[in-house]
Amino acid sequence: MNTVEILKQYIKEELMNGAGGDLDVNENLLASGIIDSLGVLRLVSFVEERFNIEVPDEDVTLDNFQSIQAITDYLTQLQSA
Amino acid sequence: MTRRLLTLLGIAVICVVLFHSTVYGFNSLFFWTNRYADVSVPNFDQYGTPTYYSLLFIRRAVAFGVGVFLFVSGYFVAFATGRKNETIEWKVIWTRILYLLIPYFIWSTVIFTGKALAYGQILSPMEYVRRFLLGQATTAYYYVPLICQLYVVSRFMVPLAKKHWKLFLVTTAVIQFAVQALRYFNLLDISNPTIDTLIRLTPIWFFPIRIFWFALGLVIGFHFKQFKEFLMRTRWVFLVATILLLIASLVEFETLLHLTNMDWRRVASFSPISSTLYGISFIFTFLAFDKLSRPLPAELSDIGTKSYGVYLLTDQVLDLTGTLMYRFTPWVLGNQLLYQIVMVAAGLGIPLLLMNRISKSPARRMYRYLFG
Repeated sequence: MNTVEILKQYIKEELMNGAGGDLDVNENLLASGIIDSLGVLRLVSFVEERFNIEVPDEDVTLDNFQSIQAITDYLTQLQSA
Repeated sequence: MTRRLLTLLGIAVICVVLFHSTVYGFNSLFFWTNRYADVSVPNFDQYGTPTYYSLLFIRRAVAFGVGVFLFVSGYFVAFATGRKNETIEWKVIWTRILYLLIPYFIWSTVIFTGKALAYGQILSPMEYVRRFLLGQATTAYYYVPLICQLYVVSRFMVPLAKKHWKLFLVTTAVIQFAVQALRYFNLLDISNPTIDTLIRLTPIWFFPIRIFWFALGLVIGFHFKQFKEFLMRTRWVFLVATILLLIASLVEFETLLHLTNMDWRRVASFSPISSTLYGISFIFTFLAFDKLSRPLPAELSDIGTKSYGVYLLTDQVLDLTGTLMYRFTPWVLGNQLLYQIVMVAAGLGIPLLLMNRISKSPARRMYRYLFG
């Protein structure tokens, strides 16, 4: 599974509890109510564990976590650094 | 720090359960004593005993649960705003409020229905609406209207938290502590028409009474780097302050108890300023010692992810457990350690079990609507 699929699966299964249809990679996760304050914290924890990286506190920003595409771009950038 | 916030939420929700559970503990010591001893009630024979002080210590030590929820919510608003935007979008605010209100509405309805069936307590439609709007289905529910108001007001707080954060923090601290300070006059029966009016205008469900917790999370979210540096420099100060402020809140409680001629129920429901300062200091200390390993971080984080659901359910579960024990096993009320273990296990365990079962059942699609 690629990064997008891993993230989609986690968000659908764990954060949305299997509800909802297909997720658009550019969908704003906050504005659509998919993630809340707890969701943000869970998503960061998941990304750290699943991709075996440490997300610095300064990087937990809206720009990096507001959509699946944003998270994917952030991970690519982090891994290539 | 982000991951530690989840652990902090887990600790906070356990603290909420413990805080509510101690109410039953004190009731069993003073007001339900006749259920396990041949005395008339209220009976204050157990005042000043090790059991009393143990319960008091727990109650004061865990009195920061709701503060942590508000702090994390403020931090979330900073995250949801982002660095480039001037303030948070209305759409994000309304969506957040909607997902808080749906479970709140469902469980409030369940509670109202339960009270109607069990006690025949049927109210007028307007009274149901009033109780729903003011978070009065059960004592803990004031939190929901309160946090919803803070989310709405956050739209106007964000620019201040970004650009004038020091002035913003001082202002919100003055507002909250002034509102809290007013209650001292009421508690000590110092009556004044202006003070009485101000107290009536700032009820527990109205945001000024807890605004500083939220503002603190908001400011820290926007100025994280400065906060982290500040914490690293001052963490030992906060550790010592946490211990001293806990002692201060215990001393303050006992002093107020004596000043009110042992009016235990009024003092117990009072929120002293020393307790708020202790809670803030505890959060800072917890976040500052980030390299220190703690027991059960994964389990605490897991409980943290379920904090809203547990919060919505725990009061009713404790009420039911307390009522059943009062009626059918009154001897347990005389054994405080066993009583507290049963109450906390029920108050935390039953909501978690219910949430767990639903998350693994075909009804899991409804999970968000039930527990947030």
